[in-house]
Amino acid sequence: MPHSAAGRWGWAAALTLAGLGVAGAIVWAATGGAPWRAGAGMAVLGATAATWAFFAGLALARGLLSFAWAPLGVARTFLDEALRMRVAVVFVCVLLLLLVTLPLTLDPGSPLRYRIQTFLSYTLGATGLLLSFMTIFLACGTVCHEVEDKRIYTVLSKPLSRGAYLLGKGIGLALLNALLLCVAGLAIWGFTRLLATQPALDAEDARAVAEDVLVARKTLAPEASAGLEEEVRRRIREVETNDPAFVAETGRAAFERQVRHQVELNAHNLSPHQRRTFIFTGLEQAVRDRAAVQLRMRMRTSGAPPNLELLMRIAFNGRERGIRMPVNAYLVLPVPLEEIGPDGRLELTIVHENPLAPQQTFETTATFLPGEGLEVLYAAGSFEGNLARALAMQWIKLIFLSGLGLCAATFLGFPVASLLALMVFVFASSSGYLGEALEFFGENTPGEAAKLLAAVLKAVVGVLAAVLKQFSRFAPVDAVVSGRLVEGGEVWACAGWIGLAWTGATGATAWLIFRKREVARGAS
Amino acid sequence: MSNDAPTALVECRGLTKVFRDFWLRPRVKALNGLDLEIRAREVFGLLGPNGSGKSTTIKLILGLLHPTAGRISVFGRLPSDVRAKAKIGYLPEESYLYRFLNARETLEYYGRLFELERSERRRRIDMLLEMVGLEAVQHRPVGEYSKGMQRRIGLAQALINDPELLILDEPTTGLDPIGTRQIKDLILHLKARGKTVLLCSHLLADVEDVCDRVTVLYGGRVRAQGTVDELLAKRDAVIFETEGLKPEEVEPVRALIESAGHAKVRRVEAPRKKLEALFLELVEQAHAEGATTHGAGAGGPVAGFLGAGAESAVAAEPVLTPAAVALTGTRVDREVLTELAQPAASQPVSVPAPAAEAQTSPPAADRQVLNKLLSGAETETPQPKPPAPAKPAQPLLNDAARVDRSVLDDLLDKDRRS
Repeated sequence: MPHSAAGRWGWAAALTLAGLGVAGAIVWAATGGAPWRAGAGMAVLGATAATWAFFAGLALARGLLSFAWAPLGVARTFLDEALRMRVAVVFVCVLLLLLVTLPLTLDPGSPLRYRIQTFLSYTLGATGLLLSFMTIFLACGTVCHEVEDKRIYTVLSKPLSRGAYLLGKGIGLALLNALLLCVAGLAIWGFTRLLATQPALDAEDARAVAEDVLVARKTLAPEASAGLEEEVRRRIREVETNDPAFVAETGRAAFERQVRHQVELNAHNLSPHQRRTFIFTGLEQAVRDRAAVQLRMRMRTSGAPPNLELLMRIAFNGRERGIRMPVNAYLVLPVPLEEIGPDGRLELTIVHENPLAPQQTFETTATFLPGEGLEVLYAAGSFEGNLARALAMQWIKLIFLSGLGLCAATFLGFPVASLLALMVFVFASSSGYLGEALEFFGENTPGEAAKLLAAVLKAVVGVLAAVLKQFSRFAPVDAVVSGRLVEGGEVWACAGWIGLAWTGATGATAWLIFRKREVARGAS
Repeated sequence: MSNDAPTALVECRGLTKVFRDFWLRPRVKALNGLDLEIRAREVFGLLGPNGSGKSTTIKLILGLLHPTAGRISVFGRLPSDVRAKAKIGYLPEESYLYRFLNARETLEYYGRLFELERSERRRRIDMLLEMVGLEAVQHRPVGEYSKGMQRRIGLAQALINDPELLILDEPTTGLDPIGTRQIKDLILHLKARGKTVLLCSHLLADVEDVCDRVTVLYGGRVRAQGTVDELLAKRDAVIFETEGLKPEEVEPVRALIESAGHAKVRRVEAPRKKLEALFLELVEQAHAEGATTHGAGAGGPVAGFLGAGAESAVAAEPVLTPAAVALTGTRVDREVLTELAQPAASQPVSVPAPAAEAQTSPPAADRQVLNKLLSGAETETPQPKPPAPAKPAQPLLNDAARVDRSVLDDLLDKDRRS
């Protein structure tokens, strides 16, 4: 960053010239007929918007931090530190490199929707990962290095409480992350729109890009069947009676979870010639907005060869039709709006029977797994809004990581603090998988000692996974990539859990430790 | 300035600090039941060899360390209380600065920590940059500064809040003689404006020049404490200083003194100018010739906001151009000049302290002899010394007096060695 007034004017002049050049490029692109020209204009617009957002955001952040309040002074100096030590610049360079090179690696022969989804998945994932690492290293580094270099002597000899010092660092980190997420978001948006101007393979591909990817679709799962709870209770009683040892060995809670899961699976199974009805509710908005509604299904079978298509029947509100149902692949069907009741209710019946020759029905059990195996989707928002909400959620998680890094730095040196914060981050990110994997951990461990060790480990990791599972629950990248709505409620829940509860707890811990810490060393 | 009895700004009672290792076993007892009191409007020196507990004491006063036992009160509050810290300026033993910030940004940062309003912050920064002579290089990152320049910006940050208590830990480390002189003048200036200064230094001459009271630490305990004059007074010798005498004129004087029967003349020699004065003279000469430098400037007047409320008459006085101070006799400020120059100009014999005067003054008969000897300088008849309680018998600092002081210091040094 320029240090002198002359330097600042030089930067301003260069940016103005660049802006004028970009404006010319956009006009040139907009007046051309070829789609690539519009796409190029869009990309330039995205890159320019990202650059200007960076400078405008920086100016805004500096403006916000100019008030005479000591923590803001700390935040502002932290921002200067991050920018002048080239941390932010390195991040932006890596991101731009990724954005430019990634489209070149995508197979131009593959469907456009997959190319866009790959691009979104990689860039959003990389942005989150890079910023997470950057946040942890910066948060740990800024406190640890100030203590090690003794700069903190001067800072804490001023009328700045330990809590205000940490708060200032946290504010600085939050602003820096907001700034970089804005830049990354604008760049990703620009390049995604550029990719979308590429020719699709066919009409279906073009439709999928518009209706399945660059959109925010609300997802509805079928309601639980009326007898589900009763069936769960019945199965539990049955096993308790017949095999009480199994219940004791598995543990009551885990046993009940397993039974419930099995009953839910059974409720989504269809034996040959079986008919099952699923009810979807909450489609009022789709009807009101005249939105495109889709039924998305994925069938798993036991024993059917892959690439096989089974002939089946489905019915909306009783009106049946035949379909070709692929095995282990998604089938997306449009749902006519007139099939949805005024109360937003849709009744779907699936009949596992060949409509042309019932006796030739393939003898296998078809399963439409709960979740992605059977759902109704409709457009409820734009891709841009979805992207913004996903980035907001990412920002909240980064705020927590800032608190985590600062907390570790209040009592540890830089290498150990970074390592600890990274471990918690990795553990929290994978807590969902860990929680599931723990169900089966230690089942076949031989020997009593090993069993005990496994049990202790399982208990410790289980508690941690349970505590940290919210972190992996709020993972919006998959939703954006698959064009699913990142709901505002989810963002607020993320803000409440991660932003307030977790960050508050780590911040309070950091304060309690730091206020008692002797920041000076013993040399006299 | 108020005439109230000096109040203790910093009070340590039974202060003990034990550093422990990772397993919480006692490793070093840095302070051992230290009792200390720093009073308002005094320059207090903290002396001691390495490891004696000086820096630990300062860090405890600033709340950077917590005492193992004992009590510290700073402005009547706990050291961790930000209301106490708002009145403190601190220059650590090394200027621990943000290398990526330039001088102005550094001061902006510390000004923000005091929650100074923008306009006031900028006003003070301008004055401080001028004062420490870094105006021309204010946009260079401080990481590129020499050690001396870093000390200067460190000093400026310590003054940004117009502190009531200024804590200086080895303030002249890394400074050239100009900077050293500047620091000492600044300390005197701040004292004149009613500030309190805690000075921790290895350079005993610096401490001796500016401190009212001194504490010497060793092994975390107080070994000596009192005013500089109380501690340094040498009561069995008297120094005269005259204009140049030829060798043949010296002998009658010696004979006369020795014939008085009370004292033997131990040493008669021509005084030398101090190296510091010569250095400052050369710099001033180079400055007058327009020679350029890429380092810090000579420094400007003391920032007017420093203690402006306490001593408004001083604020406008241009001071602290070190070479000018050294050579032209421009004083730190008029008040100090009055306070210090008067007794020195009128008192050819340096007397350690008013309290010691009765013991060290020659008897009446001897005085007559001396008057005879000095009959050629009738105009310099000694005048009663005006009361200067805060700084008893501090030597002159005007041009002529500076040479006198050099001589006196020189003689004192030699005398001490003899």
